[in-house]
Amino acid sequence: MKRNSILLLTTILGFVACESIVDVKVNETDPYLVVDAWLTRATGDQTIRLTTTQPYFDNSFAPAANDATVTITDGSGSSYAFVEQGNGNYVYNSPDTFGTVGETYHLEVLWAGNTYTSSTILPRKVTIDSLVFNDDEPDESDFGYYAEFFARDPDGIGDAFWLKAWKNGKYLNQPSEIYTFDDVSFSNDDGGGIPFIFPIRTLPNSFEQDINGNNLPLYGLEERFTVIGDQIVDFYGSKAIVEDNQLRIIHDERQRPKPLDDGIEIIPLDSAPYYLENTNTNGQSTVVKKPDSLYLELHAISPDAFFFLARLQQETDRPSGFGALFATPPSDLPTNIKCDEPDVPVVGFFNITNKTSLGRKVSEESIRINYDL
Amino acid sequence: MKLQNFFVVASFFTKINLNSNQTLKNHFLTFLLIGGISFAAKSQEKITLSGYVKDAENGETLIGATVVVNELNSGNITNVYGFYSITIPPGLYEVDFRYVGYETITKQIDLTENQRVDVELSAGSQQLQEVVVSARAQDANVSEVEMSTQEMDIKTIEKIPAFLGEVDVIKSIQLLPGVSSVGEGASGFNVRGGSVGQNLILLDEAPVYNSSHLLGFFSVFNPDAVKDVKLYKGGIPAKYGGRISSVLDVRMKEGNNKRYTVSGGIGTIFSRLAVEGPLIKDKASFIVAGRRSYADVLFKPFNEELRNGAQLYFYDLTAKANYTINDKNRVFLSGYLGRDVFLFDGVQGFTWGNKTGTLRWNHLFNDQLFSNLTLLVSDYDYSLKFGEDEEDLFEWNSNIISYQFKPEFSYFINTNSELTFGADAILYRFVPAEARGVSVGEEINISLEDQRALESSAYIGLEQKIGNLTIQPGIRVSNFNYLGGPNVYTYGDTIPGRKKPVESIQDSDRGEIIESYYNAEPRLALKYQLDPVSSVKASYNRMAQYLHLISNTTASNPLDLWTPTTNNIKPQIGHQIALGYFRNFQNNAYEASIEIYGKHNENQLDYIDGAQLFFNEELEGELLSGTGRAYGLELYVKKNNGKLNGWISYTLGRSELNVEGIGNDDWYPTRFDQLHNLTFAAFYEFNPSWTLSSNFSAISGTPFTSPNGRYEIQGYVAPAVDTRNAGRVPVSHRLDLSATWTFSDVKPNGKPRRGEHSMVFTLYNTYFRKNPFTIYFRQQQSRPEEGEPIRTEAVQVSIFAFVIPGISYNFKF
Repeated sequence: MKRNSILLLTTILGFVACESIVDVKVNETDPYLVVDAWLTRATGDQTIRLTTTQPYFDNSFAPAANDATVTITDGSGSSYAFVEQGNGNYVYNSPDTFGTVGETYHLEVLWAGNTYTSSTILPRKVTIDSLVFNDDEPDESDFGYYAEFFARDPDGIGDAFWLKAWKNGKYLNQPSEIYTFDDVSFSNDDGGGIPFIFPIRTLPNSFEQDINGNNLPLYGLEERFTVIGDQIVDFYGSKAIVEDNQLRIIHDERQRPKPLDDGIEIIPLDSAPYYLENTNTNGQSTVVKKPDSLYLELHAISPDAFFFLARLQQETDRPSGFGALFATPPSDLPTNIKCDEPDVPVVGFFNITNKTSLGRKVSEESIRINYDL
Repeated sequence: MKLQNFFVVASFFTKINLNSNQTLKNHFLTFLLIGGISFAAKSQEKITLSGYVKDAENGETLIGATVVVNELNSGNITNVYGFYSITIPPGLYEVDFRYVGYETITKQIDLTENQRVDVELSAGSQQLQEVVVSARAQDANVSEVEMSTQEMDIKTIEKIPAFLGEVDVIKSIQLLPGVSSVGEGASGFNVRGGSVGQNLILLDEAPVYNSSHLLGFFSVFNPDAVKDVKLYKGGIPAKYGGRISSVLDVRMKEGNNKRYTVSGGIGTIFSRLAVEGPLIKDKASFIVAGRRSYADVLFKPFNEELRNGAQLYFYDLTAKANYTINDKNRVFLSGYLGRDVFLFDGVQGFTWGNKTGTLRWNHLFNDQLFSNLTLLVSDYDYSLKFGEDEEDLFEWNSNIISYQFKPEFSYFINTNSELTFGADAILYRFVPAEARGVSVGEEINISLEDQRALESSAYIGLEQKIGNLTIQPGIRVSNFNYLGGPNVYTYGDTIPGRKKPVESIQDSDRGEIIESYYNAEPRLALKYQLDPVSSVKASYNRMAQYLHLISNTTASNPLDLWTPTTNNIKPQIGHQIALGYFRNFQNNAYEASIEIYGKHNENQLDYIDGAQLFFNEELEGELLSGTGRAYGLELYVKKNNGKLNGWISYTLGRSELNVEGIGNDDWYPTRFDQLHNLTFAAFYEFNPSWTLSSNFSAISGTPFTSPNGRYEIQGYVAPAVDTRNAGRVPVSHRLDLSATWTFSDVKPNGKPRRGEHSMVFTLYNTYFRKNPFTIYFRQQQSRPEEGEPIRTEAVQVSIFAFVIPGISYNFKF
């Protein structure tokens, strides 16, 4: 799990580095088209989103690109028309399973007088064999159990994956939670069918810390916290106040002089990813953390899409503090969309994924104990 | 490897070695004809005075000591081994032996035949403080042909206020004009707009591939073992080659050959200990110096990771021994071993370090021909290991190893002429990745193939005085052979923003020459003495660099990759022209200089956006090649003596790149481009017990790359990026202070104190300045919620936000 050596540097030397949000003047360019075309081999709605770029510090929704004509054609000449549904969404409702493995698909977008094209090949899928929750320490672990899934990379090179995870029904959508890998995660090796390696198997475990720097649980069985007055004395190392529909972590100066910048302060009740419920029996209020669940989708993607996602993560999940020493400067993401007018910029990506999925709840059966009793 | 390659060098050497004086003379004549320079050749009427100049206290040879024949008002200076040679007509002479901060010795010498005079100078009673120093040695600034060079002796380095009170060679030279770094914590240093990988860093002749400990907070040189540091920023003599920006020549102490001494220090972050002494009195001596950091021990109570077995430390060990066999032969053996360790549980983590070993033999063929033969090995490696058991792990080692053979000769023709020549052969082995991964017990080997290369060169250089003019022409001829073994790739043309396509992959035989490059590297330096206190100087050099340090991170760091010139990567070529005016004032109490420089560099490497630099067999396909230019002005005023001394340095500079495929092929600033750089260092001696030191620097902001738009894709906000390095962080400025308390010779109870003791108190970043290191852009830190747009923000990173106090205790017995 501790895969990132820079993390250690950051923690140990973290006491010297310092960050502050600053106002910076940046240049602005005229908006241009953004094609967000990630489809999945499945029945039902297939959605392509067309928007435009906006100034970097414009913190509003991306402007929709309206009145476009969006079509996908495949090698056999079949054509699928995507219908505009407002807000930049263009939808094709597929009555059968959309997509054939190994088939090439061509995307064509007509917008604002230009034609934008792209193509992709639908990759083969890989099945998730199993999913367990690991218990590595005999005494009660302070962050719960960590998840591990098993699957096998098929023979041959060119297999790439995007693992999407839902914790207690909540899609894990932070930049650090873009889990991608290809051919056992080592680019350009001979990819000879071995099980996914350990760091990949344990990808869907992202720690979150509260404002006191205490780890919130990864995955665990049911836990109960007695509420005295309106307070929980020890909520994973911090004191917490139960408010209307949320839990507020109290900052403790003894643990950390200043609250952790990106630490969690508010945890909503009855909401994922922290699955808490406030119960009241016989006048005794108790906060129950229900057993966690994890649902995984393993999307086979094209090698170009893998590179795109890896770059997307690099650009959005920036190392903070001391880690900035190791950061690469920002640069444009690759795109597989082309405009017929070479001078007209366009960004975005077209890809059709082939997914398998598996979900499991933490229970006595799904916990694997990795130590001798 | 191919034997033929060594032949070129070996034959060059043996010719000189075996042939008689007569043939040697012919060689010189040939050279002189080529150079079109005439000077009086050695004749029967001339006699040579030669020898070594040493420190009387510890027997260390003195580098750059002056030997002046007063009757002729001419002389020579000692070389890096402390040797001098003067050839003059016979006669009775008064000869002065001088060195800054030492008492001058004057000898009456009746020169009737070749004579060997070894001299030991004593340090002035108040070393480097209020001593009246000889005029001649101190006007070297004006009188020597050398320009664009900076020398610092260890005593000056020790006075500069240092981070956490730890004296540091590289941090000290960053206070000099033309030298800078990207920011606190960045590895290495930049010289006149050159990159970190363009500096040749030599420790007793051995190249050091990474000069930093703890990322960039400390340098690898243990000040207890360092004798002399010299930085060549321009006008680089023909004897140096292989990097296009600068040469940092660090010479280690030889060890006291009179008596045993123990010195050391206990500091905030590490402790040091050095032992030196005679093995055979006046003939052989040694020095062993070590350091180890203990921040990991100190911070253990405050840091959970450290309590759980994490390790974070560095150490280094420097050792040297020398033996004077007889008047004509002396051998030196020196070695360095340093390592940084970052482990998060005792097994997993990463480590890196340098190892070097140097064997040298100084031999005097006769009183005028000095030679030095060096054999050395240098190895830099880093390794990462993840995985707690043999069932699941990932291991990765990377190395660069070089073996070098280097014969060098100095021929002291007469007081007006000195000839240097020599050769150099370096065999490199690059191990980009020796790696394996194990998954549920199944193992895969993900290593990349080793690369080998041979770099050979030969050089000849002359220093000739003609009246007020001194000229120093030279030429170095270098050859680089990229040797077979790994697969040979060829690539198609550059497509902007894309990886170059592989056109063919071919096997190669071990040792076969895949690609060979030759470069002639002419050097020229001129000095014209306007009057006794001022001179003008000019220099030109062309340099070739066959190794490339590849980095795509914001700052240079220990995992940067050294890669050779190949059939796809061309050698870097650097041209530099520099002009300067040098003037000393008030009997050399003040020295001042102004220099301008212009540089043009070819085949500068950059990389495509999102380049994958590690585990990439097709790395060469992701590299781009372009042109670099840098130009600037340097001002330097230094006060040499008195109670208050120090210097002011100012650099106005630009450093830019133009790479096909980046930023519409326009010029863009390098990451280390800094327009203004002002530094001020002052030392004040209150009384024999207390000395105050301060340094202040103000530096223009370095560039960062900024976005010019944003867009949403798959629920994330991606940046649309402007041209590279278009933004600037605000100005950096910082004041550091230190006070040194030297214990008096007498204890409070009246008894004499044994040894020398001092305490150093430092304040780094005195006024709590948060100097910007970089600015980066990111989407909001908190989890994006459905139905709410995602915020984007700019974040400024400062490595230090507070004053960093430091205290250290130093002793010497």
